[in-house]
Amino acid sequence: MKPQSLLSSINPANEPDALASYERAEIDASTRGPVLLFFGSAVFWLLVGSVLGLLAAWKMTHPGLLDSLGFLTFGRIRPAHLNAVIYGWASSAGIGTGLWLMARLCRVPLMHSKLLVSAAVFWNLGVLVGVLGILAGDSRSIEWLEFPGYATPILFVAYACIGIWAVIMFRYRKPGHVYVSQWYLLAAFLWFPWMYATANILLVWQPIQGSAQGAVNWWFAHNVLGLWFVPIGLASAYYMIPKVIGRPIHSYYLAILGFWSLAVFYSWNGMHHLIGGPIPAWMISASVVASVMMFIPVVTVAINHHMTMRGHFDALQWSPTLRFTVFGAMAYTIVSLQGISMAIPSLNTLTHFTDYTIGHAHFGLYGFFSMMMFGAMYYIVPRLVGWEWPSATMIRWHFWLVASGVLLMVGALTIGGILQGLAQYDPTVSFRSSLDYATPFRWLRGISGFLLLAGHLVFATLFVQMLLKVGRRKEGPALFAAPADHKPEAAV
Amino acid sequence: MTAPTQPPDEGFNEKDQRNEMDVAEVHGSILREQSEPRSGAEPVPLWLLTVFFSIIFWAGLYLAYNSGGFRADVFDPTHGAAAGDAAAQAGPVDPRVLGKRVFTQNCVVCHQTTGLGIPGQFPPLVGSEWVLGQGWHGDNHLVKILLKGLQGPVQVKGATFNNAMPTWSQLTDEQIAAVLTYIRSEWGNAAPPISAAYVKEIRDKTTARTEPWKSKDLQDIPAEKAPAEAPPAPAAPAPGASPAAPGASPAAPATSPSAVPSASPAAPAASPAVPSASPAAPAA
Repeated sequence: MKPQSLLSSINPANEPDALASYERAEIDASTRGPVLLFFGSAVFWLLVGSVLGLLAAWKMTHPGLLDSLGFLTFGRIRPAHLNAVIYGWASSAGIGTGLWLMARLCRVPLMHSKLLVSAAVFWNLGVLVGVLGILAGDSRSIEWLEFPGYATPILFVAYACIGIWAVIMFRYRKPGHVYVSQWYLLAAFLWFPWMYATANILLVWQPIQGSAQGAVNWWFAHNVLGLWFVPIGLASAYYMIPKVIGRPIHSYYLAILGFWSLAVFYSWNGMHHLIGGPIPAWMISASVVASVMMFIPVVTVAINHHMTMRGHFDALQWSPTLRFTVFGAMAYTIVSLQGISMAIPSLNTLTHFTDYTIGHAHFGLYGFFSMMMFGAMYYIVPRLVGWEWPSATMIRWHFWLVASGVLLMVGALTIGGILQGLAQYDPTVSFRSSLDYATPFRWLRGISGFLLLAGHLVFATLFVQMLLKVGRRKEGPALFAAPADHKPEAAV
Repeated sequence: MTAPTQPPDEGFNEKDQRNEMDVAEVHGSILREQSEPRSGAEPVPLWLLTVFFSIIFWAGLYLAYNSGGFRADVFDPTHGAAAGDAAAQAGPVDPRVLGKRVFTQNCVVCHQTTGLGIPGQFPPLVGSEWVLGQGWHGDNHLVKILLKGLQGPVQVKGATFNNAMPTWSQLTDEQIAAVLTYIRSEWGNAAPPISAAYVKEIRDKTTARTEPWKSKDLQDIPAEKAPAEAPPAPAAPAPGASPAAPGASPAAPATSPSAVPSASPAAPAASPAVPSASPAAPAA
């Protein structure tokens, strides 16, 4: 607790920080409805996506599992899993976090928040229609755009409201410094509709011809990661790390370099999925180069975060927000460097058609982005509902279940993928036989799915308890351990 | 503030409104939190900039060597690049590597990885006169067996086998040529390679036959040596005038009655000197 002056002990409103606190309270009150709705639906889709993913994982080792049910065949639940997780969980959590961070950093309350509530309802309607459409067999078979044509416009209209509102908030910001997180959020809210509209027009409404479809498809699919999830995740890390440990971010100049190099190079990256494919060589070579250039934003952000954290790593022992966020930030560095190596053609030929790629994708979307979102939710939700997380023990369970789950999954798929790739190099081994090398690791991946699902159930329970304000009112935050007294990190 | 004053600002700029807010409503988590984050002003380290510029330099080099001239119709990254001899790296597939793969997938069940077969059931390939084209056996017989199969009693290295070899006509000419080249050069065997063009020639000549060969039928067909793989000759005006053709085509129609009916339409395309992809060339 902060030392109290005589004045502030008579009336808390006289405390120097109280003005800022009132402002924050008002902003948080204005964002409560839409952000909680986005978070709640994100948690719902997380559970749906986990179950679908788990089922898809076990079908890889047991092809006959539930094969009498048409809507649960692998060809349907795999895209249903992907889209439920991308649009249902990750995007909803990202939009909720993005809106809250934007309001906080622009220091303006959210206007007409009911409009955003209806946008959230529409967004979820779009995801629901899309996932059910895929399960019903209407998948469009375009990777990351499997939602049937009747779901896409719903999503786009919902998104238009959300994106416009985020940009309007920025327009009405209080004068002063524009913080790093705001750059990333503003960019992400503008980039996503650009990508989504372009991909839908060029692939669905007025499909372009031939192999250019593949180029557009991977331009979109890769940019959803790099120009939508990455900026939101990094915005969250750039906010949460200095906020929790109470010191400024290490360097403004590194932040600028990291932001603009991401903006310039990322959009070129997608073609590295088509190495060896029938598109002009220069497109692939340019993409290989741009992928290697990702070294610049990744290392810059890693240094900036690490130097900010330096000397404060003991806060990981007690702060749930920080522990999830730092896990995500470290995963971001590792998975990005891994991705760079996978774009180099000589290594790509080893990993391309193997489980290695699937491990990489999960490391990025789960190890980095989902962990980042958990960290943000642990910080944001208590401020919105006015209630502390009921159980630090359950948060600890959540962390260790999902952390061990994702590491087991990524480790298993990585090793299995390398063995599979080496077998594919051997001309005496048929493609069918090369799959046998991956099978034991697919078992491990299936087991990791149970760990993740268990962790998500723990988190969902915690979230519902928060909404219902279960139990007795707690005064202090839910921490893993008692923080050292002299540390400012106690104020999470 | 540069923007004109807007209604949303009024919400908490007016002090009296703020004071109306009950302090108990401001939750503890909001009261205790740190101020909003700021940025420090550490410079970008020099070593980091050096690393970044090295990467940018490498990127320029890589693009220069792998851009394919930035042409829309070039799909091979090394095409027309500064490294002129790089194209030589992407040579044709080694037939022995492909052959080993085809053999492993299709043949080992009977002939075994050792090529020794199973005594009394499946004949050996090692030192087999059938494989090496010794005695009355020719390379044409070997190819025909793969294309149509073989049934009934056969003599191999002095032993008699009576079993059935299935047809492998579903394999491509290249795969059949590769697996034959492989078994003729593995396990101490040392016979010259068989070309895909030769397999195509035999395949085209024997389209009429539907049943497996018998040892006796093959013996009636004179032995041939497969022509060595020659570089594609310039398109010959007529098959008879081609210098490569007399080695193979005239011999077959003259003495092999079964091949005569199909010989005349197939001969131009089946000439071993003409690549399999250019049957239209002689017609032009």
